[in-house]
Amino acid sequence: MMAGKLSSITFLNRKLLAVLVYLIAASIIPLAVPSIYILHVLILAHIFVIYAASWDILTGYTGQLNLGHAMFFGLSAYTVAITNTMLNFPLILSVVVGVFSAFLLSLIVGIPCLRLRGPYLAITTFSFSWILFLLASSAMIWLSGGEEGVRGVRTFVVGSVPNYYLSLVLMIVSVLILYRIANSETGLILKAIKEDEDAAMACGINTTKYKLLAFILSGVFGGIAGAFYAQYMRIVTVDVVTLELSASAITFSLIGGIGTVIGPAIGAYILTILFEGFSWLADYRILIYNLIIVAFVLFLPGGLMSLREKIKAERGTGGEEGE
Amino acid sequence: MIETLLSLTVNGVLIGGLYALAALGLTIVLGVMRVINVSHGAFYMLGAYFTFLFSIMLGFNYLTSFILSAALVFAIGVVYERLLIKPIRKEELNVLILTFAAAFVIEEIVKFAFGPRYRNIPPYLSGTVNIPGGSVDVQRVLSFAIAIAIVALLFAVLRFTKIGKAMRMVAEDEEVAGILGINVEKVQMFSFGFGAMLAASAAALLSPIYLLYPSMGWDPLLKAFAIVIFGGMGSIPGTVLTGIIFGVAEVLTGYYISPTWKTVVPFILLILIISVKPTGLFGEEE
Repeated sequence: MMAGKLSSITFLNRKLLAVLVYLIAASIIPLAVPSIYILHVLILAHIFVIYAASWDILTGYTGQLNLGHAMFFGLSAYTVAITNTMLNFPLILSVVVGVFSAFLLSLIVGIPCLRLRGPYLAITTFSFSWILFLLASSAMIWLSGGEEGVRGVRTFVVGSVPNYYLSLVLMIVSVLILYRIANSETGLILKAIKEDEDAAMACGINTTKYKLLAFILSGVFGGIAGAFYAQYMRIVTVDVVTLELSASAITFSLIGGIGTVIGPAIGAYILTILFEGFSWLADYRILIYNLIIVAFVLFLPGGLMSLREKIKAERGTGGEEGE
Repeated sequence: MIETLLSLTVNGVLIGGLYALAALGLTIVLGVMRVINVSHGAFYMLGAYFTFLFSIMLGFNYLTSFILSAALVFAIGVVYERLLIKPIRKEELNVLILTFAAAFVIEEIVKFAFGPRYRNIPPYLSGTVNIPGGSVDVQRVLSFAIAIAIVALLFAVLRFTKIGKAMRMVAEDEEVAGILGINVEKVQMFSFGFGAMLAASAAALLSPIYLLYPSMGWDPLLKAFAIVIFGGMGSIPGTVLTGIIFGVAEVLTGYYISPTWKTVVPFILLILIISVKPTGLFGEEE
C-alpha cells in the first residue's frame, strides 16, 4: 500500500521531469540547430500533435469512431485560405472564421450522430470527409484549385524560428487544455459513456450533452491545427482532406495509446519527425502507418502507453500486486 | 424527352445491378458475421486489378480472367478473415479501425505492384443495341445479365444448399447454430470470402467501363455502404432494389445536373437517410 503510493509519486515526478526536459530542449532547439529543414519538420510535428490529440478526445474518450477527422482540419484550412486570398479577410479574421467553420461542421456531423451508435457513426464521419474530398478534388475545383490548391495565404510571422515558437506555444496550450478536460470529471464521464452508455444514462448523466461536447472539442481543435497549417504552409491543397490524413490520426493515436491525449500527441510527434525527417521513407509512409494500425489493433491495442503495465503484468503477479 | 429519360433509366438499371452485386457482398458479411468490412472496397479494387492482370498482362480471355480473379479474391478473403478478423471479431471498434487500415495496406501493395497510374481494360464485347431515345452497349447488357445470374445463384445457394442454410442459421443466431452442430467459424470464414468475391465480381464486370487505379475502391465502398443502409441493413431484396435505384439516380444526376456532382449525390443521400431513418427505407423500426 505504502510502497504503491511512493512509487506513484516518483512516477509522477518522473513524468514532470520528462515534460520539463522536453520543454527546455524544445525551446533551445532553434538556437542549437539553426536548420530550416529541421524546424519545418518540428513545426509540422506540432501541428499533427494537436490534430491527433483532437481526434483522441472524441474517439479515444467516448468510443465514437471518427474515420474522417481530416474533414475538420481540411475545412478549416480551406476556409482560412479562401477567405484570406479571395475575399481578402485579415488573417486573424480568416483564422477565426476557419476555426468557426470546423465548429459548425462538428455540429452538423455531431447532432445526427448523437442518436447513432457503432458503425453508423463511423460511416457518417467517413462519408462527410469523402464528400469534402470529392468537392475539393473535383466538384468545386473552381474554389479549391484542385491539385494546384489555394496559394498565397498570408502568415502571422515570417520565417522558421518565429513559426516554430508560435506552433510550440499553440501545441502546448492545446494539449494542456485537452489534457485538463480529459482528466477532469468531464473526461471521466466521457469514458463512462465509452464503457456503457446505457449505464451512464441510468446514472442520470446527460450523455447527449457530453457526446456533443466531445464532438465540438474534437472539431474545434482539429480546426485550429488546420488553420495554423494553412497560414504556415501558405498553400492549401487536396492533401488536407484525404482519407490518408484521416487514417494518420488513428495511427498516431494507436501507437501512443488511445484515450490518453498524451499518447496520441507523442505518437504524432515521433512519427511526423521520422517520416518528414527521412524523406526516403515518404513513399512507404501510408503503407507503414497502416501496418502499424493493423499490428497495434491485433497485438497492442492499448498502444505504447500500455506497454509499461503489460510488461509489469507479464513479469509475474508478485511484487506490488500481491498485497 | 420521355425517350431520353427511358434510355437513361435503362442505362442506370444496368449499372445499378452491378452496384447491387458489390453491395450484396457487404450485406452477407454483415448478416452472417455482424461485421462492417471497411476493406470491402479493397477487395473490389483487387478484383479489377486481377482481371487486368489475367486478361491484359497474361493474355487470358475475359471470361477466364473474370473467374480466376473472383476465385483469387475469394481465397484472399478467406485468409484475411482467418488472420485479421477472427481474433477480434467481437470488438466492433477495433474491427472498423483494422479493416480501414488494412484497405490502405492492400491499396499500397497494389500501387507498388502495378504502379500508381491509370489502367484500362478494353471492352470485351463491342456493339450497341438501339432503344427508344438512345442506345445501350451490348457489353453492359451482358454484364448486367451475369450480375443477375450471380444474384440468382446466391439466392439458390442460400435457399437450397447445406452451406447456405448454415449461413442463414448463423445469421439468425450464432449460439443456437453452434449448438446444432454447425461449425460457426468455418461458415463465417466462407461467408467473408464469399462477400469479398462478390465485390471482386462486380469490379471485374465494371472494369471495362471505369478506369483502374489503386484508390478506386473507396468510392464503391461508400456507395455499397449507402446502398446497404438504404436497403435496411442485412436485407438482400432491399439491397438489390436500392442498388438499382442508386444506379438510375446516378445516371439521371449525371445527365440533368452535372457529371461531377453525380459522384457526390449518393453520399449526401446517405447522410440524410442516416440522420432521418437509420434503419433504411426498407428496414423495420427497432
